[in-house]
Amino acid sequence: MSMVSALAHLEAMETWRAVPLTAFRHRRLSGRPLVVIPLTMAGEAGAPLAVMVGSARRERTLLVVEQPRNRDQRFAFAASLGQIVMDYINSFRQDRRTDGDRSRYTDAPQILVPNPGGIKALADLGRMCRFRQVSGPYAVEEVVPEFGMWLTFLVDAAEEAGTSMLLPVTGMLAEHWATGQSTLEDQNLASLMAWISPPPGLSVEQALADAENPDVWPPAGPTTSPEFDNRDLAPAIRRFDTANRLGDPQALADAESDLRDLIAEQIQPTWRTMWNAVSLLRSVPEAPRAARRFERDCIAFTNYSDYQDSGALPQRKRDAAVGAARRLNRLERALADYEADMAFDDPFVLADRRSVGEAFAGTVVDAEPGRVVTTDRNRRVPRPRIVVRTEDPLRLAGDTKLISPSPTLPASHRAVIVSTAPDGAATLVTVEITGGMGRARVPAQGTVPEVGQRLAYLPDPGWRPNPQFPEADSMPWTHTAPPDGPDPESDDAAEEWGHD
Amino acid sequence: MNAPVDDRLAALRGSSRRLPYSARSLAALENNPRCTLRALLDSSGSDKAAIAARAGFPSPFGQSTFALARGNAFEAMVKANGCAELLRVLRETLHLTLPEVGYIDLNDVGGDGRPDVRHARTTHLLVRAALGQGDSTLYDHPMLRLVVGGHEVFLEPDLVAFRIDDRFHVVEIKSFPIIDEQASPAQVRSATTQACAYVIALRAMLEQAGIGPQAVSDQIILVAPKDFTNRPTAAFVDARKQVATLTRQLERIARIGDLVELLPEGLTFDLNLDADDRPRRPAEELTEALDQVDATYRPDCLNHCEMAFYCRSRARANASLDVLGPAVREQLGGIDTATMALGLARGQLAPTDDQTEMAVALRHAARLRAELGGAA
Amino acid sequence: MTDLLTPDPAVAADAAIAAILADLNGTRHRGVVVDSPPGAGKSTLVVRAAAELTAGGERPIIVAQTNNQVDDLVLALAARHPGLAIGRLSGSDYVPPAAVNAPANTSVGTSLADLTGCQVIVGTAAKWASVRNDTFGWAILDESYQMRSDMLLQIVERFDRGLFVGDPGQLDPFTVVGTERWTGLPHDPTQNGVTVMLEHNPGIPVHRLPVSWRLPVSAAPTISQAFYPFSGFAAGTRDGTRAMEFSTAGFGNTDLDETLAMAFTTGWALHELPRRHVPRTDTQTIQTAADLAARLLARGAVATCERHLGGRPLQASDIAIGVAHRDQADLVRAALTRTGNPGAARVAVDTANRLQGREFEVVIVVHPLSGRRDATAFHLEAGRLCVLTSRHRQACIVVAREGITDLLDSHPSTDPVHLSVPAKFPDGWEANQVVLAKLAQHRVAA
Repeated sequence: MSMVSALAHLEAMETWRAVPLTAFRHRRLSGRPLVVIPLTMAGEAGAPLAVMVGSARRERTLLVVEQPRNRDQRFAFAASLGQIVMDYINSFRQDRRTDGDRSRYTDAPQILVPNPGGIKALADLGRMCRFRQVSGPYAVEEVVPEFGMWLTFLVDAAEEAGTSMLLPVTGMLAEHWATGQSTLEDQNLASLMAWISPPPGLSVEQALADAENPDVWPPAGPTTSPEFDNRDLAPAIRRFDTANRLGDPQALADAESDLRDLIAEQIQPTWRTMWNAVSLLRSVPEAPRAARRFERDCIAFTNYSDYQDSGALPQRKRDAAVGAARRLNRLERALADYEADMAFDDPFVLADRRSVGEAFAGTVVDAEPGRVVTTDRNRRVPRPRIVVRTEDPLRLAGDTKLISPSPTLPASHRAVIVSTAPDGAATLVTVEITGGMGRARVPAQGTVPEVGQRLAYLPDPGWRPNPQFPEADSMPWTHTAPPDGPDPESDDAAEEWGHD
Repeated sequence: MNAPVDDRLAALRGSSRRLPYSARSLAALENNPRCTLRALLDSSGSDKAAIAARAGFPSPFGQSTFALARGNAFEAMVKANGCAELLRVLRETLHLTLPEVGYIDLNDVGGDGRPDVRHARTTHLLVRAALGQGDSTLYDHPMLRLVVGGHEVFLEPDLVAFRIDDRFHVVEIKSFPIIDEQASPAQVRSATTQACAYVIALRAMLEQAGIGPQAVSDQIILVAPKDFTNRPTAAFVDARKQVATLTRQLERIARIGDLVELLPEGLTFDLNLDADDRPRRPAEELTEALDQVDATYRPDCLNHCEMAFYCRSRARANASLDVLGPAVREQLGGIDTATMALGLARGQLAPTDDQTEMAVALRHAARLRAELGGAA
Repeated sequence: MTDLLTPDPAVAADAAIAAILADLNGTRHRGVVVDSPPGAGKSTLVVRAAAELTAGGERPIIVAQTNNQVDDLVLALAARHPGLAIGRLSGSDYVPPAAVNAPANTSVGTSLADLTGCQVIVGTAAKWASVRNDTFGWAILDESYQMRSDMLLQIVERFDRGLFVGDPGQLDPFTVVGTERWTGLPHDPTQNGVTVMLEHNPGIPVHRLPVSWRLPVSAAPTISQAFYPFSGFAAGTRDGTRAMEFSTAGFGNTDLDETLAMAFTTGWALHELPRRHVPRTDTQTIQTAADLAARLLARGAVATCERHLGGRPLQASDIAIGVAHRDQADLVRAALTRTGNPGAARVAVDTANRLQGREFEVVIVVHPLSGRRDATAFHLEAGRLCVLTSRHRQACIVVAREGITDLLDSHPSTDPVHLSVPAKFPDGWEANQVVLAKLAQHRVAA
């Protein structure tokens, strides 16, 4: 965290009101996101209890597993949810645009969950479903393994910085707003929303107290509150079990509808909050470069769709050596790109970097626009130099390559720090312009900053070569691991389920 | 622990029954060793949950009946038929070559379930085994004893001490899953820390018989459900560091006297319970007493300490930066409150010599925020 | 003091090297690992192994981690083996320092095609990763504990067999990506290459260089105990071989002089500033570190050692100031300028990461935990403290605010614990305690 962000949190703490941390929303928000609120049962991994799902505030579906320990009910639930999610995903596989010799879908799905725990719940569900078999013993419905693979694809994508296909809403909110509470508490959707937009008539303080009271604001999942479990849910499930055992259809129907009502009551406040949060986020302008990142999402979505169409295998349980190395490089690159994009787009984020000396802004106080140098290949090229006076605590060393987010300069503008010298409390930075001046001998009009002009620079994240790894079938001796193929292990379909 | 200190601790607790340390509260020692309030409440055996509730901050650590049921059922299944399933995973998953297995349940001694009787029998059997005179391999529900801050604590593990290759291993049975060979690191941590208390107690017990610490392995065996099934699997957990840490924290408790000496005369957290265990002490008076002791609030206290909500409200009232957590504190080293930080940022407070540099950084940050049209 | 019972360190070191070279000549193993504590002659070994391999008709490649390391190795090879044709494989925007172009037997090229006549080719791992198709019989991988497993995977097809040389006590490679998805896998790409390679090839011999030629006898036991608790090493020099003396008498500046005197006489000093929680950029701490260096230069010192038995005046470039964070390094440089000492600019100032593999006569360390309220994993990391406190041949001066003892004492332990993953040793907490206990005996209150 930088001093500027820290200060924002302090202001929030002082004024009891969230304050903006960024000028933009850096995450793309789909026009038609699918909100998914998963609930799981305490003490049992990936035992789904219920989910509320839908792509509009008024179009919600509640699915409930009446006896979460029952294997058949679990997979019936997975099939119903899978159908809804697959219908949603397939609705984005319509419009395809050709781009050179490749073509890709022009839109991509976006699933929103309340918090990081929601992503974990979907990851577990994906892992539980993707290895299932649609025939043989313990067969499941056809949609189940497909759904599992898609969930795994989305969860993997969510690990990559800057992607938008699966996101926790708390993360999106906290990226834009600073609250007067800790990061840990910011993962509670209700308290985060209490800071940003408390319910009418309530102060933030009152709204916060409510947000932490499970009887007023049930937790946004995936686990339910122990009080609710012990007081309401356990007896309701018992009634369902009894009715089921006795085979009394009326009692069973009553018990089912009681359970649904109970769970609906728990989940509905979060549903409303999710859509309120979506509206709030929509009111924040989207960052310019989000569109470019979204294109990468569309490509990834297209590639995975095509792979599914060609008969996909489920993703491995754990990455093999080459897969792991590739993924690590992909994740690192995505993070570096995302951070650079944000600083480029957003003056708030740039200010963060400026406050720690990793970027600077200032005024051009001197310029040598006609400077020309001779390269080793004996070409004469323009290399204008300017001197920028900045009051930022600059820490970038000589030879640092720079880009500039200033709107007056072309996006291709490139420069390098020649030297820095103190000037009272300020710093004079001599910068040589190296690119973005056009192809002529003389820099194109407006490509060299003039004396008096204000501008900002930040380090050029640069280009990294794509790493080349060995083919997966010729693993070198240093990394040869015992085989763990993508094929589901034979006992997976037969995994046993809870104790009945 | 010396008598005056013990008397002073007893006075802090007042009329309430002394809560003994448990493997669970020992584990909590590691989370916030710096907190004076927690140290005093724990070592005086005070009931933190009751005190927090009386002060107006009921603690939120309920346990779901589903989790309890699942835990019990899983453990019963693993231990059924003389630990048949347990032995299966030890053989199949951990590839241990087990000889013929003898199983002894130390749950009671001929119907006598008193801790000291069970402890005596546990000691007798385990020492014999360590000396190579027993033929059993699995010891269920051994009753172990640990001296914490001068007080004897019985630890009753829902575990098995398991002996192979002349070493005891502590087996923890937990119901959180191991999915594709990974489990939640936080849950593994807390399970391991509990097991470490048993390792230390087991070593202390054997030491009395002149048997060295190497007789007890610091590799814990964790048995837990595999993937999404109800079938157990197992994994080793290297607990060397945690054993060392917990040993250190136990030694620290012995130094509680240093803290006690600094307390004001007559300070007590007594709830003054009536016959039905209802507190009669006025909440304001109790809060006043609590307020006199330093607390080190960290946001992650909310995950494990019964006093956390009280401490947070106190930190909020003081505009303490503790409320925002370590990331912000890191930025503002040396400054303790939001009031101070904002005063310096706005130039309303004159920095002391120590603060000059921080004030410059804060004012620069404030200028940047002002440039952006934010407040500050 | 002569200790007749301890074997001559030179003999022990020679025996270790002979065993390593024997393994290189044998054909049984695909790899050989050499663990080298600080200053144990790692570079000498690399140079020697390269020469042995070429003498045996091999055309080995050498992989280092940074351009500086490559340059140093090229120069060392060229000086030691003037008859050897050495190639320096480099990126297109690399400008070789004049020294690298100077020797007649070195050539610089951006592709292997430029270096066909070379018997040994040296390059960074990143550059080797861009080479396709060519394979060599042997690679010598220097500082291989700092090379990530995914980097090894990119270059491993370039060679049949590898000599992995490095210091396991220094900083581990890291990633900014916070994921635990590979934890516990034998091929975790965020691990160092040596660990991953050994995980898959348990039969590979692991050698240890037993003697530190760099660390003085005052430092070797502490560093060995703190950071190499299972292997251990000894100092190559004896008591009294290394010594420093002031050229002028001290006056004024009492606490700085007291600290310098402590360091000169005992090899260690803890310059302890008053207890206070401060940001890591704390001016007083930073300025004190710079002032100590300037004071040392102003008074002048003569250092005696096995290389300079008659003594040699200490230069600014013999001194380094080591810190944990980049911003601290920038501030120390500014503080050095403020001292007005003309030599100050030549004092090396850098973070632990960048000081890895380097050597100085006197090192001044800003303790990573100084003035902190909380110790994070970063600040506790054993490798960081190890690098900082093991760069010196004569003396190490640590600047810190009082209170580190309490900080360690009340440090919460909340690190995640993973299944089937061995705990990492040395533990940062324990290592810090060992170093702190040593420093306590050399404390000067400022």
